[in-house]
Amino acid sequence: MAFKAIGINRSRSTLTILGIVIGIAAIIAVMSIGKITESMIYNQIQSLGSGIIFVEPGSHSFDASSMFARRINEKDLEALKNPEKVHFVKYIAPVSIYSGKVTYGGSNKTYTILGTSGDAMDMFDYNVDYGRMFTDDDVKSGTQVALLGSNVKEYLFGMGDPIGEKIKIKDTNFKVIGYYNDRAQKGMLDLNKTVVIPYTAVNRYLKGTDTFEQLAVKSESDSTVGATAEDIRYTLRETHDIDDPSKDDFSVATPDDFMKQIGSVMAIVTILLTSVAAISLVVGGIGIMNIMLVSVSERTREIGLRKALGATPGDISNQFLFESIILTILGGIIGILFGVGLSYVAMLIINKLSTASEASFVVPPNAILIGFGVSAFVGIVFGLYPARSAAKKHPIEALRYE
Amino acid sequence: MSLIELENITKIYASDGIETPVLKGVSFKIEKGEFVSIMGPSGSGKSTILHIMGFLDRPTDGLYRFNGKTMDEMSDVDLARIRNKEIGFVFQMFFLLPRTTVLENVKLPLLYSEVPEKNWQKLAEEAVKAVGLEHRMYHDASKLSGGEKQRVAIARALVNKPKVIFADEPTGNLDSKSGGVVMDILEKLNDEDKITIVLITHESETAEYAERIIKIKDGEVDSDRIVENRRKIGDGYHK
Repeated sequence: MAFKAIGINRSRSTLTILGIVIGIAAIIAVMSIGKITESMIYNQIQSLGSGIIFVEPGSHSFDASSMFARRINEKDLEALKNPEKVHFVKYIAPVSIYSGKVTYGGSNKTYTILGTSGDAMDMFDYNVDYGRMFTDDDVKSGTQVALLGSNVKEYLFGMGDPIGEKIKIKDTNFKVIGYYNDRAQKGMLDLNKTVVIPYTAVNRYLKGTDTFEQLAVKSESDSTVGATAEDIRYTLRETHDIDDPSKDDFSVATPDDFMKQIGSVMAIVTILLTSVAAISLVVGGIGIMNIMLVSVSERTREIGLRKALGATPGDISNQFLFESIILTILGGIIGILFGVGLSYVAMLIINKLSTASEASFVVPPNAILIGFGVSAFVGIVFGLYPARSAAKKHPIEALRYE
Repeated sequence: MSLIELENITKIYASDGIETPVLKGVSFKIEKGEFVSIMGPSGSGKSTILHIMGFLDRPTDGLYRFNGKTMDEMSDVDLARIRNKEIGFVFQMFFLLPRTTVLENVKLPLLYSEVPEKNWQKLAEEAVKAVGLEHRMYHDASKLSGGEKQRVAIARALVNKPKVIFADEPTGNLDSKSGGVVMDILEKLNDEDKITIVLITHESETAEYAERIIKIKDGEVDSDRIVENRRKIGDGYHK
């Protein structure tokens, strides 16, 4: 009966449920695009290697004092390397960044200079494709050796072989001992436009300090990350003479922390956008109510007849309520399909724009459940008033209605 | 015990503070199996009497008893149930659902009954056969002729096997030939199936199908008499 009533006014029904379709589609799209983005960011963090802990100077509160916070220096590094103090450490790599002019022959260009240790090679998969890596001895003694990213090699040497050649960074000569193929970007650093040298050499010849921008620590496994991070905090408080953990002048971040932060930001954004979509559901619901009221008044005589034939007020109310729920659920189903399609297109666009990592297509199952639930709910809420007004009609007056 | 008992029924319509008395103390009884016509000019209150007898409306005052049950004691849901189970209506305007087959129209009261759905088809087919429309069973009801529409309405009134059929000007919108057919069917239902028929009409020829005529005038019973030359099945009604 309900399907028939809806079918009779097909174009009217279609227009009526448009609001619901748009609302549900928006909710589904927002929720699944949120999930797609989150999974993409997660993949990116995972690509840095799981179980990696980043130690940086300054607390993560962005006040002026953190700008002048004490640096992480070689003394800190030594302390953290002590297996008595920090447990489960597999690799520990300092990251000292310098930006400077790299010269070979007549050509020069400014590149990122990454100073690090051999551990970083394994941790971040920075092993060279040609030539050799620098050794622990190179690092210890600050040997002037360099590894070139693919762009650097191509710009300075073209098709030629750079191994054994001398390049100049700032005023210091470095011997090229290896270079890389094109690498996909991981995290913030684009290896292709980077020259990698021992951190000791960066600090001694280029920066003239003993500090690092960052320490990357890899714990033995995902399950030991927490313990290692806690040990690092404890040890740094010791070397920095800090008693009160709230006064930490460094930050220790695990992938979990990143994920939690990103997750909570995404949740807020998703909730905000979903509430905007919810407004269109309210508008859609009002449309449903309007059309149901029209339908009730058009079918006043039918209501009178049904009552005469024995329909109780509840029967009449249920009939109209059922019709409005069918309408909104129909809108919900179409909306879910549209929303899924929309998020698929969004995923394609995200993948086109982002070179870093592939976003995978996810439609959260709870989004579909919510889509159904919300559309049925809208049907009930906005169908209730028209249904009640139909049920309240007096049979005689309804039959006489012209 | 009479099937229908009206005791001093009054009905006053109030709108905008003006009270219009429509029924001013109507009393009569109708026995089970009777065929009664209620006659009167328009505005006399005969339709209001039918609405009260059919549990579609409540009197302002007075006592209405149906099959021993008093209306006062019934809730609106009780009224709906009794309309569904014990009463069949036939209206002047037919009131069939458009774009719906004859059979589906006839099934409509079953929708609100306690009859199990598996019996609906059989009951509806029987009712359609009883009015001689078996060849129209799956036709769109709104495409039938007036006479056929009214026969569908009678089948719909019959489907729950009611104790009484209230027919409100059932021939009012029909030509005399189809009107005759409709009256023949009502008379047959009364004669063979012993269904009580209460007919509202302002035409004396139609009224004379009944065995008794109650005349209503200005909201009161004017006369209540037995019909001497009662029309019979096949008498043809202007044939």
